[in-house]
Amino acid sequence: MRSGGMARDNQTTMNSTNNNPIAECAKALTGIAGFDLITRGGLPRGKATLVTGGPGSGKTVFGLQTLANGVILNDEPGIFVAFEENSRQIVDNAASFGWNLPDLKELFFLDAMPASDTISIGEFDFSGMLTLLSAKVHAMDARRIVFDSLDVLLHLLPGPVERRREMNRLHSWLVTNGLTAVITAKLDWQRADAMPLEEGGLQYMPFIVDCVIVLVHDFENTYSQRRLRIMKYRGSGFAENEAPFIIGPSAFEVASAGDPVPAEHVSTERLSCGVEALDEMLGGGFIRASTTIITGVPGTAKSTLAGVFSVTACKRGERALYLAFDESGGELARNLCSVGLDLQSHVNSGLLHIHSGVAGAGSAEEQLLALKALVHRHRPTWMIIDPFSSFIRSGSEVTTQAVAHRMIRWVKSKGITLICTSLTTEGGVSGTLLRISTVADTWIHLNFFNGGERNRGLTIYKSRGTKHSNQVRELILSDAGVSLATQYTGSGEMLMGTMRWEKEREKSEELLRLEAEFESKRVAVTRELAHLDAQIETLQHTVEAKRLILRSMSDVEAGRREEETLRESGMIRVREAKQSGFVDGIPAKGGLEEPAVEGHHR
Amino acid sequence: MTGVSFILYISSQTPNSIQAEANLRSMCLTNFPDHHIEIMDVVEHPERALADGIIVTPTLVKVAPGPKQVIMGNLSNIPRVLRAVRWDGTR
Repeated sequence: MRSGGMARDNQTTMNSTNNNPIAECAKALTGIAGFDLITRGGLPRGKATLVTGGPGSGKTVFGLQTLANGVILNDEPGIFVAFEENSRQIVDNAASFGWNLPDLKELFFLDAMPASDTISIGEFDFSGMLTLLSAKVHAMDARRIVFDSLDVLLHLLPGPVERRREMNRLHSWLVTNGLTAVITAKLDWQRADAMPLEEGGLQYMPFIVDCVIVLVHDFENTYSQRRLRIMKYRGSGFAENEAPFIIGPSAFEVASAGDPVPAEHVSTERLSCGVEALDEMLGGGFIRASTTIITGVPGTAKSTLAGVFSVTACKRGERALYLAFDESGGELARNLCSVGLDLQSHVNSGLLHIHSGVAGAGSAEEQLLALKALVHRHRPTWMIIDPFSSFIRSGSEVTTQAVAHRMIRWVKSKGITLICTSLTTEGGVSGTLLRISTVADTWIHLNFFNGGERNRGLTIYKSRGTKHSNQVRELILSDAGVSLATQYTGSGEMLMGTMRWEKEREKSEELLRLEAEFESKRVAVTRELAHLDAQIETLQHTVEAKRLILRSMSDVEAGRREEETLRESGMIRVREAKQSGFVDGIPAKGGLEEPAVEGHHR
Repeated sequence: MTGVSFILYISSQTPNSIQAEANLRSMCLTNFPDHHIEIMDVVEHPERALADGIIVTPTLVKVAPGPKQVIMGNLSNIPRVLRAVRWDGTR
């Protein structure tokens, strides 16, 4: 059943937290970041909650914050009954969280710290205190009350019987008045040897209240870790695991996984990263509210790339938050100036906020909450964490990994496009980073390629929802900015820098040489052809000459034959004249000498 | 021993308050001829009790002479109360 009070709460910021169809008990929002989420709406309304923890675990702050937020957020007047500190001390402490409590007229402090010289003789009870508190509750229409801390009160009592009686008295008074109460008690559940429950007579308390919260403060790898656990919560579901929390600049903050990204917030909008070739490789740029991890060994220009993205986002008019752990804002701006990136003007215009974080300054939890505070202040749509490895360094691997996951989910739910750089060793990627990379949408890896010099290579390992290039490109930094060189993939290997340049030059030289060779061959052949043509002509002349000779020879022969014929006929006439016996044809020429010749030959 | 002044904070008609008032009056009658007792009922005067930082009832406050002394309880042990409220160091 929901009371009217719950409806009043629902008008505030956390109206989407309680979507459980089963009716839960009425709740009162604490306004403590994260706590209202894990309890699905805050503390049980009109009932008592016991907040236990060791010294310095944050009990008082929890109570104070619940009360102050009751006034500020829910318009519920409250009373703080201080048994341990006087109200002036509490107001001073609260001021360190930025709360100006004296301004809250609906907040009343009762100094109930027993005087140091107080002695007790005979029986007494708390009915007087409760009576006068009743008067105050009615006078100011108080809805919330904090008793800090109950053990001080109980220690005034002589024995367990009286303590139990007074606890019952207190509880029934709270129920009668319908107050949402926070009762703090010093209890260290962690320490098995400590028996404060028995000693303080508190063992009964967890049974009579409706909600029990346990605060733990310990250390993990020298880093302070605070955790909160809900031990019981009548009439309500709650997150049963321990939730990390911090007491930061804005007081008590509980880490919670947060809501999943609502479907309507899942964007398909592509945002240019500022490097044209990289946009192409990513299939059009980064998707809005996606998370990108840029890994690389030192010096591979991770920060520079991140700087390009920030400047590009700012040029579009987006607000960007740059968390720099390695460099101060000024150094970063100066260093990026060398590649033509003007961060300073965007810082001046207020679009870009560079926050210099100190690595390991607090636990991973604290870093996360500090980050949330920064985001609330600057309201960016782009965020760079450089390097992420410093951000998550604090604490154990399990913790930092959990924090990193929550951070990414939270950032995503805020619609922020996140870029994380991360240092890797030459050997590869650390276990933590590897697991975190599964949460990231895009993973860009930068590496050096050796070839007498170190050239930066860019690879996209993965990119969800994107047809991304599988090629390695060379990242080139120059005065003019950052660009990606089209990679040279001749003969199946990728070449960069001088090697690529040399290869390209080699190629062109080869071409020139071939061209020259061809030209010279062409000339030679032409010459040969000309030569042959000339030869043909000469030969033709020779042929002509020979023909002429031949013709003239034939003429001479013909003349001679004619002459011979003529002579032969002349001889016949002579023989006919000398002897008539020579009728046989005897060769004309030498007919007369022939017998002598014949005779000589024989 | 003269001029003793007490304020007794009580919570109306609760048993311990009734008993405390009876014990106080009895003690004063026999020990302090010149005494002044103010009975402050926190139910009737909550603001006054709040201002005085009273958290339990009954509470006896010796306001004079000497330093202020606060005693919680129904004052069932009168000799102890006497020792507590003496300012001459004899307790």
